[in-house]
Amino acid sequence: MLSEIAEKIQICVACGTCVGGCLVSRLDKRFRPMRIIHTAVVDVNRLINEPSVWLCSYCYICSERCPKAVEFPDILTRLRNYIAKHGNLPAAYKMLLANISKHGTALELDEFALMEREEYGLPDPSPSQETIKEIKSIINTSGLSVFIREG
Amino acid sequence: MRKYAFFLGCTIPVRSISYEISARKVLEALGIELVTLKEFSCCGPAPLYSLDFYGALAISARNLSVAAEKGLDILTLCSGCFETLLRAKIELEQNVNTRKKVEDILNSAGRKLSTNVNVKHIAILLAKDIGVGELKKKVSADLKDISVATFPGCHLFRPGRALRTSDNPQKPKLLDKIVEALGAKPIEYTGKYECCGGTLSGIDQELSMKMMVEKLRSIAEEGADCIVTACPFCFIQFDMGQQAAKRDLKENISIPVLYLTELIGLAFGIPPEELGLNTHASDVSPLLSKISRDG
Ligand code: SF4
Ligand code: SF4
Repeated sequence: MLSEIAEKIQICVACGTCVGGCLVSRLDKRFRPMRIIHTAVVDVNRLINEPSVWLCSYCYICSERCPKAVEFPDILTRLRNYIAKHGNLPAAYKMLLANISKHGTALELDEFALMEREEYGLPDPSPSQETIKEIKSIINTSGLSVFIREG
Repeated sequence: MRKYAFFLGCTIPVRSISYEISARKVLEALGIELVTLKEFSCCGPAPLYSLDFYGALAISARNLSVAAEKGLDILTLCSGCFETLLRAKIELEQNVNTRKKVEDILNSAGRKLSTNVNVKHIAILLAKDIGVGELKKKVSADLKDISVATFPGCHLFRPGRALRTSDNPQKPKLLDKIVEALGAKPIEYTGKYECCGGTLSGIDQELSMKMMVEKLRSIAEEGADCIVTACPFCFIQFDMGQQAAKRDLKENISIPVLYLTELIGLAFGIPPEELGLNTHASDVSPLLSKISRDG
């Protein structure tokens, strides 16, 4: 997995353009995209206990401006795959996956929501049982399965 | 008549139905037919890609395959769903190794992979496919006194290379063009082309709020009558976020927040209650009183 991005992180020329245009970096000193890339180049295992990897907002401004087309957010996604598998991941992400596995969507259309929809003449779009079965099967046969704990 | 598989995603049908209500009304007025499918699931959003790239891509790919099998193109309201699904299609069509891996995951779930489908966002459908000229023809209310702070958001335009964005991805003008066609005045303000902070709510609430409030202040300074977005995350961030900012930060700014399709609906002369405007957290009445409907 990390081999797929190894080449891309090597082409970073440490110009700092990504940090300069980054709103999160401006508001929060803990977060610096360039520093994350550098740490990954030296030793990706140093990121395993780094909480700031979860602070990128995925606005893709850095990606538009990077002179080397490093595409930081897409690199970070792959780095996060590695980091998450070592146990560092936000509780919210785990919950999101659990919901998707259970309902096929992140938010269940409960009775209240369905009633409100009916008032406006909107149909019930919740995923069918067959759809949910397929989603569960995708989760179980993919790398997502390790993040699902039932019960 | 054009017909689309209507991809609602997770957030809109539960937390922000006025986007769906107004979109259905406006598209009906423009002669677009929508098909709601219970075969669709969550799009496979960015946080899932952060957990496992291939698993998330398989969930996105499954949605593409569902629409392809029906021979329908996908129409999204949410910019997040749009980015996810369009990028999934492009990634699967460009990268043979990725495609093979995802195909295997889908096959074991009993689904055949097909990416033979287009993915459209409603703002692009309205501005480019239908065209602002057609929108203009349907305008019956007078919006000339309304200054609009459009908030383009990120994922409708970026990453520009991957999405093949025709607008400038760092300074997209698509929403402003639509607002202009409706007869209202789009305005510039500091932070207009930045992120709303919505993706960080649930990760770091304080940071997420800071990102929104900065923009709220600069929008208020420019004297905008409303904020207009085309993404449920941006909408919720500004609409519900304003209430939270009042409570937690004593930030006393009140600006109506509208979905693009709601503003279009108002311009077309559709009554506000039929557009679901009463479901908003922010008070929209100051805006409504400035629109003359017999215009
Ligand atoms: S902008 Fe690109 S090349 Fe410059 S530091 Fe950031 S990732 Fe590296
Ligand atoms: S995508 Fe992440 S790193 Fe890049 S500018 Fe946005 S918040 Fe900063």
